Amino acid sequence: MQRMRTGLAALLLAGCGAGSGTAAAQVRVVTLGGSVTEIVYALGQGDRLVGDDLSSLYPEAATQLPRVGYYRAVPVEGVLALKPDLVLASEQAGPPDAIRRLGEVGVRVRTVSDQPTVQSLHRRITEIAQALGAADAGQRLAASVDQELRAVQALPASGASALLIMNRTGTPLGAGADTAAALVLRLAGLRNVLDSQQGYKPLSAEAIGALAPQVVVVTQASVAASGGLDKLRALPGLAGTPAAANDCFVVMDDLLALGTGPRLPQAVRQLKETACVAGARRTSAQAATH
Amino acid sequence: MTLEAENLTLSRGDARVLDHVSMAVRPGTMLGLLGANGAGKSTLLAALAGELAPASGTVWLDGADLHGVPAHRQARRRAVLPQKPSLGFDLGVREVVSMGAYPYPELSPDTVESLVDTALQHAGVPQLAQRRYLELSGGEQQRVQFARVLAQCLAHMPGDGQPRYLLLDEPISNLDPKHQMELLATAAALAHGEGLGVLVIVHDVNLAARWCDRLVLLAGGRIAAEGPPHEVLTPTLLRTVYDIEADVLPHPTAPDRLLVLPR
Amino acid sequence: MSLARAGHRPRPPRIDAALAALALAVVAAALLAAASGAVRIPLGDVLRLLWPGAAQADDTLWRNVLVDIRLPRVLLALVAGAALAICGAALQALFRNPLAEPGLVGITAGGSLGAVCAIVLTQGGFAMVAPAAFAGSLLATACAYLLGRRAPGMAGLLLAGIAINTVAGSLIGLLTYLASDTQLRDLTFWSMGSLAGANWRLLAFLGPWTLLWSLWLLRQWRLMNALLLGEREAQHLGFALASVRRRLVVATALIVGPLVAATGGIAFVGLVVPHLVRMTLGADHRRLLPASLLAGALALVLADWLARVAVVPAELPIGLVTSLVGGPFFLWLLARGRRF
Repeated sequence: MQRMRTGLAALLLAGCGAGSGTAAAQVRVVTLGGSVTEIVYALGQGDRLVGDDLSSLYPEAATQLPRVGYYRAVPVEGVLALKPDLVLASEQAGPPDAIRRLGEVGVRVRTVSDQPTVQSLHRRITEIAQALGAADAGQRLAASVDQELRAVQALPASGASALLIMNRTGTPLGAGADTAAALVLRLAGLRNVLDSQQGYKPLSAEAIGALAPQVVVVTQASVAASGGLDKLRALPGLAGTPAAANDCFVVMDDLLALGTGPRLPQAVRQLKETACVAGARRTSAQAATH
Repeated sequence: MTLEAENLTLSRGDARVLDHVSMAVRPGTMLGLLGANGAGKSTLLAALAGELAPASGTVWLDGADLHGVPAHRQARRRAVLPQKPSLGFDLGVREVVSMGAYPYPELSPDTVESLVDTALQHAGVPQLAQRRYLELSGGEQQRVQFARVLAQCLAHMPGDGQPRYLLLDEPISNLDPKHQMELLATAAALAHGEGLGVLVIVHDVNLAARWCDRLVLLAGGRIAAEGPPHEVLTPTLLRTVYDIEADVLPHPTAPDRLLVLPR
Repeated sequence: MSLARAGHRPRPPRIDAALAALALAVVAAALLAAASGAVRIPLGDVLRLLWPGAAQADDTLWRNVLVDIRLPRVLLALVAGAALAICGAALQALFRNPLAEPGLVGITAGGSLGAVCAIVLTQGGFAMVAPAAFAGSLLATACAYLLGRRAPGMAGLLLAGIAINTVAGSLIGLLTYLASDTQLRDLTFWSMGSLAGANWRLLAFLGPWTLLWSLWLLRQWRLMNALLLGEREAQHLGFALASVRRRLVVATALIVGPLVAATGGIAFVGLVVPHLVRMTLGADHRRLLPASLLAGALALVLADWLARVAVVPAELPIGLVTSLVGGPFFLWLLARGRRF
């Protein structure tokens, strides 16, 4: 509470100073969508947030805010109870009826693009920055993300085959195309073995073996749920993969791997800079010349 | 005006249960239906009750083919008490008996209330009126069900000259001797006094002889004999129907009555 | 012997008192539910805001919340609760089984299948999901009814309903497999039920429609009592079974179908409420039906109120509340050994 008050005071001063007239009026913001929240914080506007949704897990401060529930089942009255001046909603937020009613009741609702592509990330940053009256900060953020991405793209790409799995319930789910995970893999120069699949689907042990990925990416939570990386590696199907043979399991933070947010370049960099991924490149290059 | 079966043939599966059976229930008389187990008594009652469609032959209700009379109109003419009436739900005795008035939704609540009282009186269970059905003994439950069908028979419409029929399938199986007598006495009295046509299936031949005006004996799906008790109850016929050796004697103390004594 | 007037007894007064008490409780609960929610509106202001013409300029938010969001929702809870409970009572009479509920004839599973098809195969949204759910529930019920006619008595209908539920369940499973993550989330929330879609337009149809058919069901109390004696006895009392079965199944499908379409699956109300009423007031449908109507409305209004205020600013799905509260309560009642 104290932080918010100081933040508010600072904002008001900043608003007066910057001269963008709308900033001072938008004091209370509610975000719906994990990467929307992340971007708000990245723009330095986190102090304006009075509530977010259950999928807003980064940064840590976002988890301390009042949660309105899952962003695809938003309760209208719950959001209104937070007295927001502005609601920043991912385009995936719903139900559409609830979002519409928020607008009808007089709250300013701004829906932003939320697809697992780099262009969408750009648009999202710009749209959110505009809505918050922080267009300059938005441009800076977008530019820095671009710059980082370019730097990361410049790193050597291995072209190795990769698979991203989640294993929270015992049956591993594999990431197909159209997922944020697929985007990360692609930007990291890896070939997603499940490129022909749409979305997350359960994978059988045999299928994993048949796919024979050289790199396996797992999320932090999946590792914990499996009882540790060793247990995970020993699972049937995974144990026989080239990734297991070369000990190439990369553990990534959940949000980093599963969301398309401003930390996307970090995710790609983590993958590219993992020794065994680079090593896998060498192996495939060697295989090509033989 | 009768409830009658004409040339009724009925099969259950492959077995022929009734074979060209013709008989009639007349208003003002009590008809006893006797026969060994499996002779076809319950099947005949079920056919008269409109539950079973005969393979051939017709059931006539006051001159109309039963098949063409809708259920709600049949219910206003004829009440049926099945062999083992069951009720597993928590209803009060009055509520059960007042179901007898359901075929007559036009009756006022007051009329229904007095109909229920009368029926309970006739059935000999007015003291059970405020009890819950599930708390009663088997015999008491049977008598409450009897009261229900009585209510169905006794609901009089002004200017309604049409007779009512009452079919009772082994209504005394759970009752002690005193209440057995009372129930049959009531049925007979209502037949003679209110003009009901009553058909009752009982196993006790002497009780049937005591209370029924006429008896129908079924054997092997056919009518072996029909008529007043003194004509029908002979050792020969008893042997045919029940496969027992019995002596038929004049009742020692009551005149005009018979006593059947299986040997 | 002649018909002697034995003097009539007045109807036992305690039952009317019970209905009156239930009605009062419903009104009180509705007021409570309208007066509380995530947005704090003081009670005095609630009454003032409901009074037409008394609003002031800065009342807009409160007025919107009360009139556009909360009131339709409370009314939908009343309508849905009443409808589910009375249909549960009707089906329990039809099957002579206190464990019956509208889902047995395929209404809920069919509705879910319709909704799942709409969510997975199209882009979803209420405009697609609701009619699909309605169509699904009617189709499933029709199949169960037509197939069930081949066997005598209610056993046929019961078995056909179970079969339809199983088929619908496997199709739902298949579509669930094909669904994307966002679609999966939508499915889960739909199946847990929600009254959040309540608005005046929906109520303008659903209210009178449900009322109409529920009133018709109320008048079938004799039929349902007779069914308690058994199918044969009900026939002997003048109720043609084929027509009885058809009428009750159709009425139930017409009432519950649109409800399932509008609110998703709300568990337990159709099963537990009539059962509770039967345990306390007895099985006579002349009282059981109106009491179920009132008790169902009461139960769902309270459940929705709890859903809205328990985890502010978030909301619990209503099916979750009814199961979490209804389940253990029901077990406790059974353990006490009350007859049904």
